[in-house]
Amino acid sequence: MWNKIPLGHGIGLRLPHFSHILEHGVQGVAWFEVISENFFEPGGRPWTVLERVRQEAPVVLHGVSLGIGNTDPLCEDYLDDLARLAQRIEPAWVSDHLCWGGFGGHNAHDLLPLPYSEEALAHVVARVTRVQERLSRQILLENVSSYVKFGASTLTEWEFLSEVARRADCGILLDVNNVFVSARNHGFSANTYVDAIPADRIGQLHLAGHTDRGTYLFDSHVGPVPDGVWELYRRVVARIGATATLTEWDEDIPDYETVAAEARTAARLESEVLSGR
Amino acid sequence: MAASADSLLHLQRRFFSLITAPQGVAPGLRALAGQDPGIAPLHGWIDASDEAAAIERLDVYADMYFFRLLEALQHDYPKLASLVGAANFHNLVTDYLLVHPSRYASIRHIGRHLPEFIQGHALTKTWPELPDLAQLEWARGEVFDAANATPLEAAELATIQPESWAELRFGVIPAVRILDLQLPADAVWLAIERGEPPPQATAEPFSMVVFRNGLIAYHRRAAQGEAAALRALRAGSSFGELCASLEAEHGEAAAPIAFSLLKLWLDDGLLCSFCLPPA
Repeated sequence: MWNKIPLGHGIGLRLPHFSHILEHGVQGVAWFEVISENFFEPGGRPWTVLERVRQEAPVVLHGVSLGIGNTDPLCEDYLDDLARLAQRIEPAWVSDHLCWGGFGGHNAHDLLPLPYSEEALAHVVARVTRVQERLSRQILLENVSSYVKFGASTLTEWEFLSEVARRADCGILLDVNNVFVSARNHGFSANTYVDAIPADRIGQLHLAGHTDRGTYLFDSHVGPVPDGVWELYRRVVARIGATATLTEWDEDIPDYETVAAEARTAARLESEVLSGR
Repeated sequence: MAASADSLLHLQRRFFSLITAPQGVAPGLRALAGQDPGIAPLHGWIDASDEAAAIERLDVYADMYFFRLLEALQHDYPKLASLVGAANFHNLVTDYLLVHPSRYASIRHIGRHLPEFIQGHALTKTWPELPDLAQLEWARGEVFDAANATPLEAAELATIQPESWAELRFGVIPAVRILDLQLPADAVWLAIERGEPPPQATAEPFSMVVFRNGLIAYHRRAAQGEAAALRALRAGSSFGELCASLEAEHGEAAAPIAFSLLKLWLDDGLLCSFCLPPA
């Protein structure tokens, strides 16, 4: 299981907000999620901002390049960088994505979908175990938005995610928007998905916007959280209780206060759900 | 690893080949079918209603692959991208990624080989200054997030006895790069920064010092004797050795030059420590 840490509602630490944070501090945002790889370099403005944020609020590390599902060997240099960063910043937790991202020594810098097969399951579980040993901590894995599914899949995505967490004894970062996007793209029920994820494995939730491209939804992280995602969030909160929640906004990023206001909206909705309003 | 056509390794090889194919998924599929007969039709291994739907969905990943890297390279080389224009930069990135696909976990390093790669690129016929401009922009990026170090203050040197200066050695901050350029990349950089037409590039070899002071990256042309002196200092030469090498080239002017360089480095915050041999 995962020991939930009640951080409340946070936002992602993003470049356009660096100046604001250096000038005004974190201003009431409960915690920050940091893209791990953006802080692998040792100094300068990114580190100055991160250290300022860390003085004022909890930080969690969220990676995009672990490649837990890659068939290439785990990158030891990457794990060293991540371990060093975690030691320096003392995050509340470390997370990455349940996906693959490169092949043959080359990196796509993308979150590519896995087939939900027994072979992939065994492969991922072994690598999560190795990473958790290397970092001396449990990690959280996030479900990704996807645009294709494979004939090789024998499990549903929610079965695969739940089973990885159970067998590897890791946590789950449940991205509510990604469930919404993938459900539409692949024709499954988002409610069925979120109801099936073991509550005692979920350590964090993600919320974000997406873009309707006609024949599919695209996980753009642009704009406010859409109504359908809020609705699904309420369902998740009603089932699993108060959970650290992050609001992401990564395209056409507005001012700091606008993103922080989305996090406050999530906090209000959570409070309403939990008080039965 | 299972050897079946559906094995994870096999699937990832196919998927990766298709989304990184330079002309897109459909032409990539035709090109790869000769080597891997099972790759087509796509909906033989991708669960889609038909072939067109499978290609459309894989193209989502192909677009993300290219445009994410294009955006990262634009971030690393903003002046170069501005100088050549969007279409030329798009084609340059296509050519570059074929030779230098990312081998790095962090996208921060994707542009590392561009200064070298661009030397042989057709765009240099129109813009011969591109390799030097690329070197300058990459160096600015490197110093931007290089390790921090507290700059040495001039007052800290006040207690050093005159007879000890020859043995004095200095630590240079990590956020410094010294470039040897052929064309006036700095003038081109400045013109683009100001939104002015870039000057005509004529060859005039010079050295440039790129560094970070506080949180801001700067670059300036190296002063007389500075590039060699700073490299020697970084390699561990003493102040006396530095003066001796300056003397070989500048004669009696060596000492004034050495002290003016020292003042320049202290003003720019390029030095972070000093040490004397044990008494």
